[in-house]
Amino acid sequence: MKEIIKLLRYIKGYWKDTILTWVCVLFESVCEGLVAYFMQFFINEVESLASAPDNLNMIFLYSGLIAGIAILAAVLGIVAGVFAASAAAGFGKNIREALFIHVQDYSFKNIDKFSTSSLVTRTTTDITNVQGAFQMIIRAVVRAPFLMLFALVMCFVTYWQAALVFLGFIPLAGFVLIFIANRTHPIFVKVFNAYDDLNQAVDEDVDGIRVVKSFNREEYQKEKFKGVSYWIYSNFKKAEKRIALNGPFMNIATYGTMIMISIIVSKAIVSTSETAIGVGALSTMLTYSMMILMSLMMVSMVYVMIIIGRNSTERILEALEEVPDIADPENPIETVPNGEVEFKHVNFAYSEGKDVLIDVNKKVKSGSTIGILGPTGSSKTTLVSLIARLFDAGSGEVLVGGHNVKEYKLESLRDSVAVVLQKNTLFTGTIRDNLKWGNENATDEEIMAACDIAQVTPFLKDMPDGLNTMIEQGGANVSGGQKQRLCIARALLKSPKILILDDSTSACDTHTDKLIRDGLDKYHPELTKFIIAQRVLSVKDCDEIWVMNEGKVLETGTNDELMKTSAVYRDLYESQNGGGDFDAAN
Amino acid sequence: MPRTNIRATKGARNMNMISGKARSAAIGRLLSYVFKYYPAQFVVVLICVLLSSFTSVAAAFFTGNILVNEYIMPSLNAGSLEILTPTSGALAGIPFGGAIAIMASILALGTVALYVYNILMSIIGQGVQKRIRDELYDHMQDLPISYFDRRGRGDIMSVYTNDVDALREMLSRALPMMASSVVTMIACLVMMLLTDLVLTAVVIGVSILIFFIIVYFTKMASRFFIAQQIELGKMNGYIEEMVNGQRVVKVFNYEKRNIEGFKKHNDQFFTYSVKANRFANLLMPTVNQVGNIQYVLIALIGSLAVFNHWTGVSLVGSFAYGIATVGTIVSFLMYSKAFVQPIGNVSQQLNLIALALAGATRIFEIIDAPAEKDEGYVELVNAKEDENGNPIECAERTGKWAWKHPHTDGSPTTYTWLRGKITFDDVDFAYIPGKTVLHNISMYAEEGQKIAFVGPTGSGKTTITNLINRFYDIEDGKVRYDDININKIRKKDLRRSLGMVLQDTKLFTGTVMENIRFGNLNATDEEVVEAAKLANAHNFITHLPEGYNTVLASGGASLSQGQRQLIAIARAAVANPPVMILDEATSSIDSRTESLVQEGMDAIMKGRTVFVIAHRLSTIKNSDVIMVLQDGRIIERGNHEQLLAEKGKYYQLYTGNEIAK
Repeated sequence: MKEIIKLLRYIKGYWKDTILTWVCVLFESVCEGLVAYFMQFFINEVESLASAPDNLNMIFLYSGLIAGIAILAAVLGIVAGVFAASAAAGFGKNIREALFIHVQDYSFKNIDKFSTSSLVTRTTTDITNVQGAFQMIIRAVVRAPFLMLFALVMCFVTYWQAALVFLGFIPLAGFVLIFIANRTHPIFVKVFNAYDDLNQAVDEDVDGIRVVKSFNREEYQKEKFKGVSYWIYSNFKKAEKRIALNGPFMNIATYGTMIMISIIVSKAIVSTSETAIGVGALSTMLTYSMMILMSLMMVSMVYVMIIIGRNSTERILEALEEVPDIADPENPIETVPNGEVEFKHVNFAYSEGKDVLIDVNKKVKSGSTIGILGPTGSSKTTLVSLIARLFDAGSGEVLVGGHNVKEYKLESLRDSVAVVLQKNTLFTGTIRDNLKWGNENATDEEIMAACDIAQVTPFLKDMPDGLNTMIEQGGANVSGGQKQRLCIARALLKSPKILILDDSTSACDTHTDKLIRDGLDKYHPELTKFIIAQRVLSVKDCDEIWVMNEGKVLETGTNDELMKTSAVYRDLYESQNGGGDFDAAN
Repeated sequence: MPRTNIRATKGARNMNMISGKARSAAIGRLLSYVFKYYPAQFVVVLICVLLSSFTSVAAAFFTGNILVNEYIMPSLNAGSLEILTPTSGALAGIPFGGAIAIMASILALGTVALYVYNILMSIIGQGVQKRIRDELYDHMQDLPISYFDRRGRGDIMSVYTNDVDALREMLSRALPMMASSVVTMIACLVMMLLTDLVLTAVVIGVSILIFFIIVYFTKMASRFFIAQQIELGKMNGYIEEMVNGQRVVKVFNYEKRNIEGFKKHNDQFFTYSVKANRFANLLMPTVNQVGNIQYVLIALIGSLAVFNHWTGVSLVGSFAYGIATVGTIVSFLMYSKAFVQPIGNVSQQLNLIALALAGATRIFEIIDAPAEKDEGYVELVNAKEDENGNPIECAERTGKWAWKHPHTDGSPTTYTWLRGKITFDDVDFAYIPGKTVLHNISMYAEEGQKIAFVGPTGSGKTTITNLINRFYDIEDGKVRYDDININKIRKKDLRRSLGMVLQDTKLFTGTVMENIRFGNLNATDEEVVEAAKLANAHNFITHLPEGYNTVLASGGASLSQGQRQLIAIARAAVANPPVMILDEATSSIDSRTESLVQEGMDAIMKGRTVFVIAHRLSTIKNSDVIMVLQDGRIIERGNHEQLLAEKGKYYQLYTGNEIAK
């Protein structure tokens, strides 16, 4: 319930539509009740033709009245529908927008916490579900209780003795409906979880079909699948069997009330006492009983929708309420003076107690080139991530241009620090669109200059439409090496003061790798560069090389110095000497 | 795997226009599942639907005709219902209480019928759905690799998640509702025709009007619904791409532009969503109130008929309207209401049915896709040596294998030892006919030789290896295994004789043990551990929380890339085939694991014929033959020293330098 109230906030801007929907639905229900109410007098008049065949006027009067109310009800219903549509769509739009914008403020840490795939589900499927539920219940939530109440009141007005039947039936029916819903829901939850298993089985199979086929495991996979498939089948069947009780139960309730009311009302109609009522009362009472039971069905539907929507609601709210852990300081510095970087006794841990950076204490002069070597897990990436404040240091300080990174406006800092991520992404759109991520207003000349340095130009020539070549989602239609070069060009277009290449040329052959480094030195000597690499060749010519292991910078020096002083470096150098990468000469 | 909700967005794919013909074929085929597997249940369902619909019509008949005409009207001034009993008709002599009791039992019967068919429909619905799902999955295993190349993974997934689910909704909800609506309408129609033809004509006229209103609104709504679904697909695609690339977004300060891009989609979606739902929302109030107005209209005409003593005509003859027929009008009103009501219900189901049929068409598309053909007849059999060292077939496992080659010309079946010699004879290959990607590939690998492929991405290295195990069939030329054309070998046996370790490791959800045993289902636990030791995987596995019984979720996401690779190597090792196809990893894994992986690879290469897509110098140097590929051709071949001496492409790759011109 608390969750739902929190979500109501997002009706903002569409309260008018929502309230108008409710008002219209309210009056529509009144009209529907009135139609049924007047119907009895109408029928009475028709019936009275048997005894007094001269008052056709009353029949005309009532038919006109009822038709009029019916038209009014139709109009109100239509208007309600129109507003309900925009209220629901607006509600969905607001939540989606709020969540999407909020995710933009997430830090890397926030993203890691949720995982991107879960964030995608929350912003797409979950919101679609909630919007769908809202669309379904916005009218029912007013209509059902009101129609029920109105019908009940009118029953009492028509013939209160018979209406007493409802006082017994409504709570009973409500109780049973809710009981069935509650008994069924847990099975559905189980089934939906099993669907995840099923989807996973299919997904893994499709993804690994080559493995399946090369090991002749088709039959094995079929058997495995049948297990999950059967589980879903039997549980779903169980849940549906329980739900199957709904219809017959409602039948019993409907028919039961119908018969009881028929008896009571029939007796009253024929009685000669003062309480005698018209024949029309019978059909009116029956219509009302249908209305009441329909409303009960609607209430139980709303209840089920809310239960089903609860998961999605919780997941959306969780993401919305996540507090971004990196934000602009007050009175931030807006320009980064130069590319000087300093780590002052920096420690860092992703989870408490497990330091992955230990007392890093290094200073880098503006314009110099630093190479970083070390095995996976030695925290090379983590170290350079602190420069662009993708994470905040646990203890110690990271200084850029002489100021603590926390003092800068995030946007200014990140404009000055270009990071070419190890796991990089290109986006759907043309090559030009992708490169303009670096600078929205870049001219083609600027773009081409960056392409020259990043060695994009040689393969761009072979692209059918040059800069206008479409990149498919995730960069599926360019090779790994081409993707890396495009990512470097994109970063260069930012005109940064510091450039971080995190294993960004691993898929390029050694020759291209060298051309890129030479280009950077020639055209951007002022840039402070950090080059993380697996290949010694990539960092050999750096001003300083840091050898890292287990979160520590173990040894530093130039190639020549390290060859003399560092056994680790020498080993690496010798094992790699003389070999290019045979896969990547493209 | 993200937790996906099965009621997830029916994406734009579902809204593809499917021809009417395909749709009716789909519905016929769906029903054939019902007839085939649940004939008795289906007959019972039909009977129960009939019963339950008739009882609801009977209820209307009871309150209208019987109660009012036979009991209330005659007793109007008598003061009690029990005094007079009908003197004629079916209920002659039965008192009011008795009539009520009869009615109650009929209704009880209807309720039981409703319950029975609800239960049966959930059994049928779920059962058919399960069968189709299993058939779909079973058939998918038999489809050729090229099918998976053509269709995206997401595309196939959506058939399982969206389309099969839409079937359920249709089978267990929409169909029974449709059936009972139709039965009710027919029953009402009959009753109306038996009462008065003119009034019936009015009801039918109004129903046609309602029908057209529904058709119009539905058409308008579905136009916008399609637009809405397409936009939803686009928007979710955008969100997915951007959220996945969120790190890049942050690094480039792209947030503001990102939000702008998103808002465009969100606003567009909003617009379509409003329009579509508006039309959908108009439907019910309009239909309901037209129904009410019709009700009044009938009552009015009926009253005029009574007043003017018109002559009524029904199917069973004509009669004069008068005081005695007032009850007739009241019951006619009941019928007309019961006749019109289902129209609204049916129209709400139509969308569901259309969606389900579109889904069914896509399901059958997969089920009907031609399976991988296998015309092979040469089998791999257990064998032992005869006195001359030749293989003879035997039933027991000897650890030795032979190819059993029957001949069509009547000559006796021949047996050849399984050795692992592979030859390519002038092979051409094209994924798409006409676009040849491999040209004139000829090569031979003797038993126990190591062949390395090197060359740039896209040069055809992986493609060659995919031809050996017949993932794809060649266009021209011959591939032979132990001098037998591989087209003659049963695929199952051919693949059994080949092992594969792919660069992109795929593991399955399950324990480590199960994952390794995937290579050989008959392997004992000890054999699995042996294989793991050979592959250098044993050590890290024993350090996992549950050792070999550790469950790997999501394809082993909790393991490092290198560790996954070690398991994949163990998986191939436990299969112990004479020929191995290996794709070495290029990605940077940490150096300790990397050396473990290399040692593992080297270990399983020993004593086998090996085709390796090589990236490591040590692998390449140790190879018997190195094939340098470019643009689908072998441009250089020889061993390391020979190729260096040639100073060609290999030399250039090796030194990382352009050749001095």
